[in-house]
Amino acid sequence: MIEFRGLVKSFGDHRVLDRIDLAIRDHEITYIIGTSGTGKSVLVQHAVGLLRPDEGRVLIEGRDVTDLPERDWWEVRRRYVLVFQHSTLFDSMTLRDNVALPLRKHLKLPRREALARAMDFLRLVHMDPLADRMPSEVGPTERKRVAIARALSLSPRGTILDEPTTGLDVVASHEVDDLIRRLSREMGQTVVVVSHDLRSIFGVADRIVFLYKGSIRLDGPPEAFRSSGDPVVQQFIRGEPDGPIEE
Amino acid sequence: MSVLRTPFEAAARTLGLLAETVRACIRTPPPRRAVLAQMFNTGNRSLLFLLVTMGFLGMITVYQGCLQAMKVLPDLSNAGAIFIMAMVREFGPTITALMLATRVGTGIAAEIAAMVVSDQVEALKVSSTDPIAFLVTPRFLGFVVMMFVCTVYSCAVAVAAGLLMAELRFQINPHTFLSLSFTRWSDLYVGLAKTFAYGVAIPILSADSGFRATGGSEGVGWATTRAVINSTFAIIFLDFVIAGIGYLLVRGT
Repeated sequence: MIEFRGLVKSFGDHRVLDRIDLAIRDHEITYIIGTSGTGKSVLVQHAVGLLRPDEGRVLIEGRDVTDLPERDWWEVRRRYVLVFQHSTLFDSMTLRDNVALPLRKHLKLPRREALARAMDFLRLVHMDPLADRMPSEVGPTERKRVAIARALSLSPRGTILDEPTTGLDVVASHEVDDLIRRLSREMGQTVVVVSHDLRSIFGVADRIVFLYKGSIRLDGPPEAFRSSGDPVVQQFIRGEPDGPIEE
Repeated sequence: MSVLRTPFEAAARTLGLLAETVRACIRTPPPRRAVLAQMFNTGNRSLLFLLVTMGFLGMITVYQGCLQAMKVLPDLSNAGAIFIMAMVREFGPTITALMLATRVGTGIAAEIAAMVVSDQVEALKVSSTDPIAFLVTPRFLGFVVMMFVCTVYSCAVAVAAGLLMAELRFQINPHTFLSLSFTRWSDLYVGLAKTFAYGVAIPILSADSGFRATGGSEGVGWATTRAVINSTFAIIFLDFVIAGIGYLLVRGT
């Protein structure tokens, strides 16, 4: 379980997260949603130690990891992996080398073995035929799939995906949605997804956490979200420009 | 005080990066293949650039030096000896460092900055890869080694070009020109100390500029600019400090 207790984070004078209390339950698909700039990505980056809170605690599987030194975060990041919005594959490596890197660094596998294992994970996301291409030679959907394969290569307990369907067409988005479902249903992972994509949210989520102005506005299953009487939530669902949502 | 704090903070951060890089070199030495690739990039790919710049520098220095000396004393028998001493002690390491800061330092800064602004450095952390061990140590070791190689090469090119100019324009005998009578061991030590100091400073300052990049492509541009400016300042400052220490330790040389 990933738990945030009274999390506060500011950048300069701007308070992005304002006393967030949230427990992400095991094996669920939790979507963290909200308008742009509400701190969704900032929140999940605290779970893997890329950001440190100004106040509050972060607990992973009951252990307080808030003040861990950088090197001790590696073990946490092996169990809970973050897939960035823009895939962030390493430009100078082939797709296969990208997936093999965590295996070599984390599990200390020899290069040859890491490359062989990397192929297994690329096969899982149907990217094995393109394994020896460079990231610049494949499209955004393929890059996203490889980034997920790289995350899976460490057999994590949880995967955090930051806007996995942003910039993808509908067909590609469906593929990513299927992959998210497989992570949870077939591999038993805890999955956290940061997203704006309502189609994906209602199709995949077990639980929705709606952030607004740095606080949790709504936390519940998709049905509760859909039937909420909160005008902010309703405006977000309808995507209307006029309403109580302030930019 | 706040005006002074920023440069001190920057210096402290750069020294911190240097300490972390040295620690990473000891704890997790980079793969030999990665270091060789960086040595190739730093050294081999700079050969033509150094050949042209140091060749012209050697010729111009000898031409102007001899021309001015002839106005005072029409004896150029020591021109080569002075030129070689200056090249070993001063111009060889310093000009080579400036050239490599321009060609290689900017490359280091741009590459790291591009990875920073596209979150690839964060992705390295998520992959439990220390960005300093992965990105900086191979470049650092490759640069330190090739700084020595390039300095020797640059001195050789400049002396050869100077020799050519001396013989063709001023009819100085090559044996007379290639005299080490003015060059002492202390000159060599000062030259080597500078070479080492520049070799350490340039990749660290360039990497630091890269890591500090923010925003998009504009941030990458600023990182490269900052790398050149910081490296140039560092080279001039280290040149002054090491030359000063050299004069203090070996007075009169």
